[in-house]
Amino acid sequence: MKYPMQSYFKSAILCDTVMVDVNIWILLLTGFVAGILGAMLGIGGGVIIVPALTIVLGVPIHYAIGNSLVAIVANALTSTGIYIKNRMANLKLGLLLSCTLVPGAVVGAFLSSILPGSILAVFFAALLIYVAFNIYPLRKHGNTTGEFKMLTDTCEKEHDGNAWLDESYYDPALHEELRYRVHRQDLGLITGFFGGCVSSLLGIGGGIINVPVMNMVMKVPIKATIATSSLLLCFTTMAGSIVYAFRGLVLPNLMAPLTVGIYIGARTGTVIVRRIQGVWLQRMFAVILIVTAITMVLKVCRVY
Amino acid sequence: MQHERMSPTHLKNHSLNRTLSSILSFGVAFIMIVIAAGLILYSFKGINEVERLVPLPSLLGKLIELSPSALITTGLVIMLLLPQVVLLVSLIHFIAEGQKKPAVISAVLLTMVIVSAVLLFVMK
Repeated sequence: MKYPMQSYFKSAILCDTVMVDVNIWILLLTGFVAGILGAMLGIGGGVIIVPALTIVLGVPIHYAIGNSLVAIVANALTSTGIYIKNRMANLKLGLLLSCTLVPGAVVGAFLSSILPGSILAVFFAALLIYVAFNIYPLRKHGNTTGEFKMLTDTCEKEHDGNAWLDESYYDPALHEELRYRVHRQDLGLITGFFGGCVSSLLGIGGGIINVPVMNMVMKVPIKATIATSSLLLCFTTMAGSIVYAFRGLVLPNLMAPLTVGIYIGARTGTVIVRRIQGVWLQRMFAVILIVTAITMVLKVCRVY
Repeated sequence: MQHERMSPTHLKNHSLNRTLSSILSFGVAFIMIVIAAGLILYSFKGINEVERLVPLPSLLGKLIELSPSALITTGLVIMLLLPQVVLLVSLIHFIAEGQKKPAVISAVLLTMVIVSAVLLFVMK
């Protein structure tokens, strides 16, 4: 089937029966913004990409999710490479949590055909708003390094001797090496399974769940949390991407500009994370949680 | 400077971090070059028909023809293989260093990632 095209920079493609306008500049910009936010908050960027593709470009939702998943993998790989180099990502913690996240995602994919997604989405949106209010730091500057150490020392009794997960990283914003201990691994693993389930059921990135769990339950500092969440996304979104690609729901002319934009954005985002104070990242994350909650409710109301 | 403060285990893991970081950085850079090349070819040729990802059996033939979608498909395939490479390298490192727990976890995760991909593909 042939379509008269002016050029690739502003053209149209056919998704099923829907004609979609492809504007390379919008796709590059979407990828860039999603890359910055995704790398800065460890969420991948699907929260930005899916609404942008569906609302702005009119891409059918399944194609939007497919291309978004591939872009998230690109984002996760780019930012993880940099975070691992800076020792911010906790590799062992990432591998451990993935052990329950990945099966959780598979179970969620199975359940998606049984459970009513709309009711779940409303409950989950309420939960996200609750988490957003809890993760939002009320103090102006958050915890200093000394206070953070005291905080971790008070949790010493909870630490069950599994020191193999403990890590440290250099925080340029604090000009200090920050050592931390990972607490409540059992709870993290259980929540990870349900997080994987819910992310698959509702088609959202796992980062929205991983970040609060690691930061609030496992007491991992926010920057290490974000870096480790990027690592987790590599494994959790990869399987989904393969399925969408095999189904023919990943279109090269949508995916390519998104991926290039996200690569540049992710590299920029990782630089900002090193410079910015953790408290601002927590605030931004709280805002993103609320935006995600609203997006989910809009989805249920079939606004897009 | 930071190395002086690290314990022996941290130093061992630091070498793994460097290896993984190099693999990811070079891997992603290569993927981006391939995808950007496809994007540039698109801009020259324009899109005259609905473009889809190229099926794997015919990928090599299309690559020789310098098809933009074949280039982008190649980038995608490498991108989706990178996480497995990360797991495999971690597994080998942990086994070599005698770190049992992380080695077992890496092996389990590698198996699960492959199995889950197959499962999801089967039930698609």
